[in-house]
This record gives sequence, structure tokens and C-alpha cells, in this order.
Amino acid sequence: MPTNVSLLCAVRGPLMLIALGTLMAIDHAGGMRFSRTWPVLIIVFGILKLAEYLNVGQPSGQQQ
Amino acid sequence: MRNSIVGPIVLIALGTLFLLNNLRVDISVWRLIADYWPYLLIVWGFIRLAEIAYLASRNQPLPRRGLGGGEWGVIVLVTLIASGVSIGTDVRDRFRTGRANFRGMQIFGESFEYPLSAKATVPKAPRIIVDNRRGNVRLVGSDTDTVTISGHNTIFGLDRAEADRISSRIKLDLAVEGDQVIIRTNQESAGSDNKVESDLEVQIPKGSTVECRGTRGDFDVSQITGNFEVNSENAGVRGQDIGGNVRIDLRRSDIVRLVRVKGNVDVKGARASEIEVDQIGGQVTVDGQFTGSIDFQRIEKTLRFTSTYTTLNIDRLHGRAHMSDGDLEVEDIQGPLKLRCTRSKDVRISGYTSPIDVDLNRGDIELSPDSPILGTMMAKTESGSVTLHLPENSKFDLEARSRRGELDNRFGSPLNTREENHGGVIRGGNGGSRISLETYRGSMTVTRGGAVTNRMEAPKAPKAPVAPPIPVER
Repeated sequence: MPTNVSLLCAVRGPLMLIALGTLMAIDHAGGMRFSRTWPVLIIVFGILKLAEYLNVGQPSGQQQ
Repeated sequence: MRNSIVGPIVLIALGTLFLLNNLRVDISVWRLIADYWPYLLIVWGFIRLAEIAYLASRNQPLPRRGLGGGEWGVIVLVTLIASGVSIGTDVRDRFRTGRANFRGMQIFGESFEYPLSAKATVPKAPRIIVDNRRGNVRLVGSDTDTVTISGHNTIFGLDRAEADRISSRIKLDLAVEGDQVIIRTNQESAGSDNKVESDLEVQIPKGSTVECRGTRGDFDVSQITGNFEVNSENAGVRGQDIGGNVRIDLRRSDIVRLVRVKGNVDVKGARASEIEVDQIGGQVTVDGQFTGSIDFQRIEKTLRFTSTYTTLNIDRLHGRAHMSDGDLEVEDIQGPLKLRCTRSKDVRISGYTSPIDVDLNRGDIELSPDSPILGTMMAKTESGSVTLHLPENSKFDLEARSRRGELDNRFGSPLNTREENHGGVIRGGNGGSRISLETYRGSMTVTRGGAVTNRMEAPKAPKAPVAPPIPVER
């Protein structure tokens, strides 16, 4: 059974990619420029890292 | 990456696209890539996510990382190339649609020209609707009761036969329905939107109202007494001698230039470069992101300018307001002025007696009012120097404060300087309009006006540091 942590690790890349694509699409559609919205990527990354950390911290979390 | 489905899918998709590009004349892969590449990244992410969900649901071991280093490398490469293509097609389109058509610059195939012409009798004050997706249109009003169109279609194709085939499918429409005249170039019937361009020169009655729609290409309208409206994705717009109102709605633009408009002007541009507006009888409202120079002159009513970082309102601009990336210069205004700017901007305002209100996040302020000063003058910058050239014989009640910075009172009496902690305040007056100046970080200078120089003065020499105490030997 894959643990929560390994699942979070695995989805991090794709989610980051989706976020990047969305920001690029917004920029492309004439909305906010990527040069202004890029910090969203750091926030998404931070949230995913935080989720991972919280899952590791739980006693029930199976650590590898 | 090894077990991923993305690699094969990308290869199949690429192959299909390029095959289509080669087989169908009406589909351009480069345009598709330029238009849709960001969605490619999103789809890619979702496919990977679906794979991981599938693995997790079947309790199979998950990859340690969702996307490998190699994959990120490919993503960066795709982003760089695709944004390159995106810029490239924009530049190419600009070359094609620009006034000077650089023939021979075409990268794909050749271009062929086919002449266009049409003529119809119309009512005295018609409403003319121009629908031209790509290409430049010029409409000129004159004393006539006919609409006369001349021009040509430029068709980009691999050879003459292909161009002939496309040309036979597109017909120029000139339809008169009541007082409505519709000019349509029907480029979409060529089956593609980027292989045909129509450049038109149209003679119209003086009393016309003109409405233009397009995707890419310039619109140039002059000498009409009606309104002028443009709605386009990407256009340069020029209007001269317009009797009615002007409304321009663009997603992108390299230039908007309006001269001698009797009515109101309303410009919306999501991303525009330059704008030049001169001699407007009504009020001017401009809303958009501008990267180039912005120039307003002689506006009889209110000017309202709004961009991402700047809001500027001026009532009756007799002179000129010029704005470029880091500067704003306003000369000769009649009514009140209000400026808010959240990005670094150096502001110079001269030739005014009316109230002004300036609030900057960063940037220097230089004010040169005329005498007598009639309204309240407020100017604030968080970081930057403030200079006021006060006319000698004027009546005022001044308070100029710098929270951290040097004070320089060159006006003399009745102004007094009081130094506080790191800054201080220059205060005084002779019972006139209130002047309130403030900088959080920067110098504050008040001089005797009259001699207004646009050049910045040389900065004052810094104070010599205090010599350290000499150690004494015992």
C-alpha cells in the first residue's frame, strides 16, 4: 500500500506542472503576466511540502 | 518517465500535427502551437496525475517523484521554444500586417496578390460596418454618396495554384441594408484564418459612422462626422478628424493615435504599446496596460487614465501629459489633477494653479505651480525627493516634511526649517492656499520659482564624516 507521503511526493511534480501551465495560459490569454504571477508556484510548492511534512509528523503515518 | 504514457502520446500528437500541416493548407501547426502550448503543459500534468491515481488505486508502488529531472528539462525546453514560437508568430504577423509589407520575409511559402474592388450608392449618413479579420483598412470620408472600395487580398500559399484556389473561395461583400453598409472580406471561407490578408482603401460619405471588427491589422479612419468604433484582438488604430465619439476595444495594440476628435474618446487595451491623443473635444478615458510612451495633449474635458500601476485624472489639459516607463511630465493644466502610482515614477508637473493631489510609492516629485496658487496642493512620495519651485509673489500656507532626508529651504522667509530626528519640516506661509508635501525617505527642497529648469540639479555634496577620536597614549 503506498503511503500518503509517497503519494504526495508523486503528485507534487504533476501538480506543479498544472499550476505552471495554468499561469502560462492566463498570461497567454491576455490576463495577468507570468512575470507577476510566478510566486504562486512557490506557494503551491510550499503547500505540497507542508502537507508532506504534516503527514510524516503523524504517528499513524507509515514512514519508510 | 520509463513507465509513463506521456512520451508516446506527445510523439503521436506531434507526428499528427505536422502531418496535418503538410497535408492541409488551411492548418498551420505553428499557429496551433503558438496558441495552445500552455494547455499542453496542463494536459501533461493531468495525464501524469491520472497515472499516479491509477497506480495508487491498484496498490502498486508509486514513482518516487511524479516528474523526473529529465521531464522537467523537457518542460523547460517546451516552454522556452513555445514562447519563442509564440513571439515569432506575433512578429511575423506584425510584418505581414504592418503598413510596410516586407515581402520575401515570409518563412513559409510565398505571397500572391489579388485585386479587390466594389462600389455602391449609400444613404447620406450611413453606419458602415467593416469586418476584416486580417489586413489593414483605411476609410476616408469625403463629399460623396457612394462607398468605393479598392485594395487587394494577399494570399500566402506554397504556389500560385494553391493561392488561386484559395482566392476563388473568398468574395468581398459590400451590402447595403437600409442605412447600414456592411463590408466583409469573408476570409474565413478560405478555410483558414492566417493565409489571407485583405488591405482595403475605402472612400465613404462624410456623415458616416464607422464600426470596425478584426483580429489582426490596422484601422485608419479620417474625416467623418459620425462615431468611430474598433473592436479587434490586435490592431494599430489611427483616427483623424472624427466628428463623433471614438470607442476602441483591443486586446493588443502597437499604437493608438487619435487626433482632432470632437466627441468623447474611450480606449480599452489589455496590452498596448503606444498611445497618442491630441485635440479632443470631449472627455478621454483610457484603461489598459501600456508598455510604450503615452502622450495626451489638449483635452477639453476630463482625462481619466487607468493602468495597472497608475491612475491619473486631469481636468482640462491645455498642454501636454507625457508618460513613459519611469516618468510622467504634465504641463499646463486648467483643472484639478489627481495621480496615484504604485510603481516607481518620477513626476514633474508645471504650469498650473488648480488643486493637485499626487501620491507615489517611489519616485521624485518636482512641482512648478504658477501664481496665484488657487487650490490645495498635496504631494506625497514614500521614497524620493520632492522639489517645489514656489512663485515669488504667491500666497500660500506650506508644510513640507521629510521623515528621513535633508531639508533645503532656498525660498527663505516666511519659511522656517526645523530639523527633527533624521528629517524635519519646512513650514510657513502668508495666508494662502494650503500646500502639503511629504517624503518618507528623500530630500525636500523649496526654491523660488520662475526659473523652471527641467534638468535635475546636481546633488548637494554630502556632509563630511566626523573624524574618529584620536587614541591618546598614556
